[in-house]
Amino acid sequence: MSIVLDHISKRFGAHVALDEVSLEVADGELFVLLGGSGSGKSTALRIIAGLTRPDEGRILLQGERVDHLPPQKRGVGFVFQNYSLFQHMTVGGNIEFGMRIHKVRQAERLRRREELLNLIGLEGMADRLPRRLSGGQQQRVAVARALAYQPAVLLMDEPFGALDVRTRSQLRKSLKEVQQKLKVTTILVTHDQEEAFELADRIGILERGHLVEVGPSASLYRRPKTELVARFLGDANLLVGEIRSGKLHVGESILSLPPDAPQVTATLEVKVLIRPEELEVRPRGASVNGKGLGLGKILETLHAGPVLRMKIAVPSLRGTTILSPEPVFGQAEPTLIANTLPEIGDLPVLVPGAPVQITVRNLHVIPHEGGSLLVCIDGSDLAERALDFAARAASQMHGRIEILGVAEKPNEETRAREKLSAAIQGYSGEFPSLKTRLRAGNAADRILEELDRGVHDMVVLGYRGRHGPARFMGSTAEKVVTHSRVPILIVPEARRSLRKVLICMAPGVSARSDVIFAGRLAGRAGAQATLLHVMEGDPSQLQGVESDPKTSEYLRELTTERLARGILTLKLMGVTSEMKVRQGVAAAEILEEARSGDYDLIALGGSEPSGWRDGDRGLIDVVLEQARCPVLLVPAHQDKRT
Amino acid sequence: MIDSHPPVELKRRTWAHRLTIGLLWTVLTPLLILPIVAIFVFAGRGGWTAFWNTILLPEAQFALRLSLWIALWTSLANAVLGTFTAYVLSKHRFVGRGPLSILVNLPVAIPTVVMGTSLILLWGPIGLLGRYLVPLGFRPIFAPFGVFLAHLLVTFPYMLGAVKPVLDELEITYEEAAYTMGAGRFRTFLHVMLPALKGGLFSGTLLTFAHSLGEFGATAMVSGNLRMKTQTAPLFIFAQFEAGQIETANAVAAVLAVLSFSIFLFLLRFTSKPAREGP
Repeated sequence: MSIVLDHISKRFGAHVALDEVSLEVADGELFVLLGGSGSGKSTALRIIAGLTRPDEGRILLQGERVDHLPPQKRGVGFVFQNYSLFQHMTVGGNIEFGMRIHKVRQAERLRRREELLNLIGLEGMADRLPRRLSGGQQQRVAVARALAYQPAVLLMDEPFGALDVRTRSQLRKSLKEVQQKLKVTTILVTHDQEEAFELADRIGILERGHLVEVGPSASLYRRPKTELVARFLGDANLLVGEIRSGKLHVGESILSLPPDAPQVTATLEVKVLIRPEELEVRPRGASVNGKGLGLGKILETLHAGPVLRMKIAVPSLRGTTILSPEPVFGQAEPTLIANTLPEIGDLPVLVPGAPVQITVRNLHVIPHEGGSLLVCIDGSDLAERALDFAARAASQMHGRIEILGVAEKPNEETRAREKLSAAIQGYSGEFPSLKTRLRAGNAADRILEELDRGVHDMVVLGYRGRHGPARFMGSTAEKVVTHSRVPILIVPEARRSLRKVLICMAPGVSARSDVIFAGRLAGRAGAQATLLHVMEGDPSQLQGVESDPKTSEYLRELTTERLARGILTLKLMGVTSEMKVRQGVAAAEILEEARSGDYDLIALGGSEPSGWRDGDRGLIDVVLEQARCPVLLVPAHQDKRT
Repeated sequence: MIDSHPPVELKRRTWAHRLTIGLLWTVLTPLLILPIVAIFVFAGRGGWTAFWNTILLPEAQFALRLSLWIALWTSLANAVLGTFTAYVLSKHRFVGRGPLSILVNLPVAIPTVVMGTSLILLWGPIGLLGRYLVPLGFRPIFAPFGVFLAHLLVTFPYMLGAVKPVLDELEITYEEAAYTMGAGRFRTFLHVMLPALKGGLFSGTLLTFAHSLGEFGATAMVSGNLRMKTQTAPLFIFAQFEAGQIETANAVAAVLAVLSFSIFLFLLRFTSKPAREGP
C-alpha cells in the first residue's frame, strides 16, 4: 500500500473536519476523494502532505510512518488549486526547482525537464514565464513540477477547478495518461462527480468529515451501500419497499430481487434504488420487457441531447415512501424521474400528459434503518423520559436510537456514566446495535458535533421547564435549533407511543418542511395526522375583516387551498389525515386543540429560527411552556434525509 | 479605439472638457507648480559659476554628503527590518499582533518633531535608556548615529507599507509548494518569497531614501544642527535661509529637489508596470 490513513481525525475549534478517516490506496492507483465543500477533502490531502497536522491517527507512505515528518521529508508532489507556480521563474525553472533542492546534477535535471515537458505536451516552452501561459498550460506545468523530483505520491487539490469545461476534459485525459505512464500513486480531490467517474480507479466519498463509502465508481453508482451515496452520485429514484417471502414489494407492484439482495425469509423493509436510466418508459399498449411498476402519466419532459428526461406520476406508488425525488409540498401524485433513449416511434407520443407504462430494468436494494434518533441524556429524570419516548417512537418506526451522554461539568461524569450504562441495559434488548457515547463539555456543542456526522434524522431532548422569565426553549435546545437543520423533538413528560400527530399551520409558522417531515414520521409510525390551520388575529379585528366579504372570502380560499395541498402531501405519504381550522391567537388555539384532541406530538415549522421567537415570548415558547406532549420543531429547508 | 469614436461626441464634450482642464491648471499652478519652479529660478540667479561655488562650499558639501549617507543606511536598514516585520505580521498569528500592527504604523501619524523629542527623551543624557548608556560612551543624541536612528523611526512605516501588502496578497500555497518540493524555510524565503517581494522592497527602499533625504523635524531635534557634524542638507538650507543666504540655500535645495525628482520618476516608472501576480 502506497498510502495508508489510519483513523485520522482533525478538528478546527468546534468544527470536526475529519472524523476517524481510514483509507488505503494501492501502488499506482488513482484515487479520487469526492465531496462537497466543507467535507474535509482538502484537509485530508493537506494532512497527507504534512501541511496540516492531524489531531489523531497515523499516516503511512510506502509503509513508513510519516506523521512526525515535515512536508519537506515526505516525498509527496502537491498540485494546488491555484497551481502556485513561481511567477519569477521560467517554466523550466519551476520544473527544476524540486530537483535543484534535491541536488540533482544539471545534465540529469535538463534531461528530466525535457522528458516531462514532452510528456505534458509543452515541448520548447521551458523558457516561457508562467504568466504567459494559458490556464490549462499552467496546470500542466504544475503537474510536471510536482512530478519532477519523482515523488512516491502525487496529491492534487481540485486541479481542474479553475478551468473552462473544454480544457478540463482535455486535461483529464492527459492527466490519466501521464499517471498511467508514470504509475505514480495519486490522490485527487474534487467536488465534480463527472471528473471522479472519468479519472478514478476508486472513489472515496467524503461527507462532513466521514469517509462514507469507498469503491470503484461503477459499483458506487449502481450498488451503493448507503442512501447517502445513492443520493450523492447522480439522480436517483429511492423508494421504501419490503421483501416478503423472497419477493420485493414496492407499492402495488412485485419486482424481482437482484442476486446481491439480502436473502431473508422474514419480512424486511428496504430502500430500493432505481437509477433514472433503469426505468423504461413506453407508451401505453406497447410491448414491454421486465417487471412493471404499472401505469403512469408524464408530467414534464426535457430533451437533453439524445436522452429524454421525464417526470412521471405513478399512482400505484401511493402510500409508498419516496425518499428521492424529494416530494414537494402540495404534490398530489407519487413522482419518479426517468432518463430514456426513446425508441424512434415513441418519441412523438412521449409528451406531457401522455399515459405510459413503466418497467424497471435494474434495481438495487439498500438496507433500511428506518431513521436514527439521537437522544441526549444528561442525568436528569427529564432526559430519561425523553429517552423513553424516543425509544418507543424509534421502535414504532423500525428505526434506531443513539444515546449521547453529556457531562457538562467534571463532577457530573460519574453520574452521566451511570445513567448511560443504565440506558444500555434498558434498551439494548430492543436495539441490539445500540450505540452510545459519553462526552464532556457543553451539551449543545456536543450535539451539534454529532449531527455533523449527518447520520441522524432527529434530535430528542428532555424539556427542563421554566428557567428564565421569558425563555422556555432552554439554552441547549435553542442553540441546536439555531445551528442545525436537523429537526428537534422536545419531550416534556412521559407519553405513550405515537398515535395522533398535530401538524400546525399558522401565520409566521411555515408549513412545508414540517408537513413533509412530520408526515413521514407519522407514516412510519402508522399514526394519524391532523392538519391544523389557525387564522390569526384577535376576534375584534377579525370582525373588521368579516365586514369586507371579498377579503374574508379570499383568505378563506387561500387557507383551504393550503390545507388541501397539505392533505394531498400527507396522503401521498400514506398518512390518514384530517384538517381543522381555528380562529384566534395561534399559540392558544394550538394548545387548545392539542388538549382537546389528546395528541401525542405537536409539529411546528419555522422559516427561520428567529421566526419562532419574535419578541420575548414567541409562539414556540408559549407552546413549549404549556404543552403536555412532545413538540417537534422542524427548521425550514431541513436536512433532506428522513 | 479612440479614433473609431464618432467625432460628434468628441465635439460635444470639448467645451466643458476644456473648462475643467483649464480650471485644474489655474488652481494647481500657484499651489504646486510655481513653488517648484521658484527653487530653480533662485538657485540659478547668480549664474552657473555662483551655483557651483555654492555647491562646492565645504558646509554644503558636508551637508549633502551626510544626507546621502544617512538616507542610504536608513533605507538599507529599513529594508531588512521592514521586511522582517512585515513577514512576521503577515504570516504569523500571535498575541499582541493587532496592537503591534497599529503601533508600527504610528510614526506616520505623529509629527516628526514629536518623534525627535521622544528620541531625545529616550537616548539623551537624562533619557530612559540614555541615563545608563551615555556614561558607557553610547551617545547617539547630537551625533550622526542619532540622526540615523531618527530617520529609521520616521521612515519605518513607508517600508512596511510597501512590503506588507505584497506579502498579504501572496497566498500561503506558494510557500507550501516549495515545502512539499523539499525546500526548507530559509531556501523558500530566498527563492520564493524574496523574488516576489522584489517590487515592494525596491519601491519601499526608494521611498525611504527620498523621505530620509528630506527629513527635517526629527533631525532638527536630534542632531542639534551642528555645522560640519550633524547638519543634514535640509537643516543646512534652513540655516542659510535664516542667515539671509537665499541663493546658497536655493542651490542646495535645487540639488535636493533634482535628487528627489529622479527617485520619484524612477519610482513612477517602476510602479506603473503591469501589476504582478504571485512570486
